[in-house]
Amino acid sequence: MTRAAPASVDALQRWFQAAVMHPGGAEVAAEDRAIRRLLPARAKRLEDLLLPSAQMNARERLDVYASSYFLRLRDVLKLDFAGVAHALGDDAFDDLMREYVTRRPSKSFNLNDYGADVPGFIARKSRVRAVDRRRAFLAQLATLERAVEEVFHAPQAAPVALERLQSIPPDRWSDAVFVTIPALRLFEFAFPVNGYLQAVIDQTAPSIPARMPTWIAVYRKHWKPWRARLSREQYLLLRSLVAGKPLGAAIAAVVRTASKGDSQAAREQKAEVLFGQLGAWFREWTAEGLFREIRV
Amino acid sequence: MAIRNRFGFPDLGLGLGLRSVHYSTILEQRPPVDFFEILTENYLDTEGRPVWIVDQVAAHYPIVMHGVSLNLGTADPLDRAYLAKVKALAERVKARWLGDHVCFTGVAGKNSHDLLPLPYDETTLRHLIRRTKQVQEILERPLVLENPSTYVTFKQSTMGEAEFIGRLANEADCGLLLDVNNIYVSCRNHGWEPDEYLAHVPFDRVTQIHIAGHTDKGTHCVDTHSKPVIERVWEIYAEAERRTGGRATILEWDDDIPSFEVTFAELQKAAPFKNAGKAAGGRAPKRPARSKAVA
Repeated sequence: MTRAAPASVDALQRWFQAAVMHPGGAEVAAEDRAIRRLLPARAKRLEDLLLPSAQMNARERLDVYASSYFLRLRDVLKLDFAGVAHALGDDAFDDLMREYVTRRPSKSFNLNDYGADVPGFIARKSRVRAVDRRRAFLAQLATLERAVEEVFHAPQAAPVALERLQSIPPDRWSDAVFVTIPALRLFEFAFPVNGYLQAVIDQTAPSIPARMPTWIAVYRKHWKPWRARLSREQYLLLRSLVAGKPLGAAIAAVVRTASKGDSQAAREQKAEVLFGQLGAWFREWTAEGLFREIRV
Repeated sequence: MAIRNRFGFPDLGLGLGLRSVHYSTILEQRPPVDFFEILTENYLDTEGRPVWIVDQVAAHYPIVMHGVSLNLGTADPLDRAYLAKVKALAERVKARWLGDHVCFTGVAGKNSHDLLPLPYDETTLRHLIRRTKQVQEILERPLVLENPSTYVTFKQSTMGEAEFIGRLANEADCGLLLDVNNIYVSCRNHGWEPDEYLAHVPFDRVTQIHIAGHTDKGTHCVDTHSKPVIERVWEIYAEAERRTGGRATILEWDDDIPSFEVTFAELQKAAPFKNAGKAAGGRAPKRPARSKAVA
């Protein structure tokens, strides 16, 4: 059994950490009642715990840690959410990040995961005015950017070769189950966020786009994340395959969804068009490495 | 003859901290770097490109692991899941040794992602000794612990940093990673003297040395790893190499990272000091080394 740390060690660390993580910096933290309540026994103020140096008082010295705390996490998140940062501008992005860092302190050693809650935070929690004005767009853009980070670190799986696809007998296609790689994410967005993100990367100073439904695949190929635009039918088909449906059932689901409300004739026409495109789609998806196994 | 490292760890020569901006140069050109140090956490919880890269680097170079999230000094319980991942990575890359810092990084389940300072008193020392022994049991190898750069001093401290870390190393039976830039930075920030600091270091426990640049803010120095090594830090390094007789040395460069060629050239500046240290064979100075304040 592990022995607990001495209470004095615990108390000092809780106070120090709270002061460092205070959004107002060390000077404000030193006067904050909530932080002062954490002062270890017998200490009444910060100066009872920390010594000045020849050139800095105790609060200034503590602020070396406090100021770098926010900047470090802000910089990490700015790398992961460059599109959101561009859409908001520096000041509003800093406001959003200060809010996020304050309300969602990191609880993991892994900084790669620290931005995992950013899309949801933008969608539901942030009170930053600039976020409120574009909340839906920013949340979807953040979702796309987060997916890039996720597929970068996702488990690796060797993709099947094109020959495997070509080896499936025609009468077995309907039963074939296409197992997708772990590093694949599919999205239906109400805004063209992928085009916006690419424009940010290309430094063409994009403005916030109007609503327009788009379907995007984010996946990893040759260890790099890629973003590909899909048609609605491609998205629906891949989504069914990810859910584990055999190809025949997946196609039927796509036709059902894509031709909802259509006449029988229109439905049959859509199905015919879809069947005509399948070969090219599957060759492309296999070449892009989206499948790790084809079970027949 | 050099002071023997207590654990028999070899002097791996002159190495670099592995950084992503240099990946392609390293993999394509295989430059004559003696070994690489990886930042442990960069290769945990990922099955993507980072591990693909580190596997290739490990196939051609010796690797040592240097962590920033062990959180050794925290009052929280040990993170056994983290330690299991560290152990698995060490086996994967055949790490020659692994270590972290004398600090805490968070408490109450939070993580500051910074190396937060500890008071240097008996209570904290006993706590750290106990934790270090536990970690070494779990990892089944000695830890190599680094002296941090610090920016505050606690009123409750009852001993100097070098004495604290020296006692920790001796009583927990661990190795030391002597960061000579951190010695300079902390000495500047706290009004200590580097030679006095070195006098308290148990050099038989020093396994590795770090050299790096820092940013001088006027009122204090910050360990930014963003610039070349300054002259006074080279002097401290030379003294450390003379006292050890030669230890594996890593140049750290983490911000404003220059091309591989520039980084490698900076590392090569360490060679004469290392050679002189080897020639001196780990002898302590006959008279006290200079004790001028570093400012």
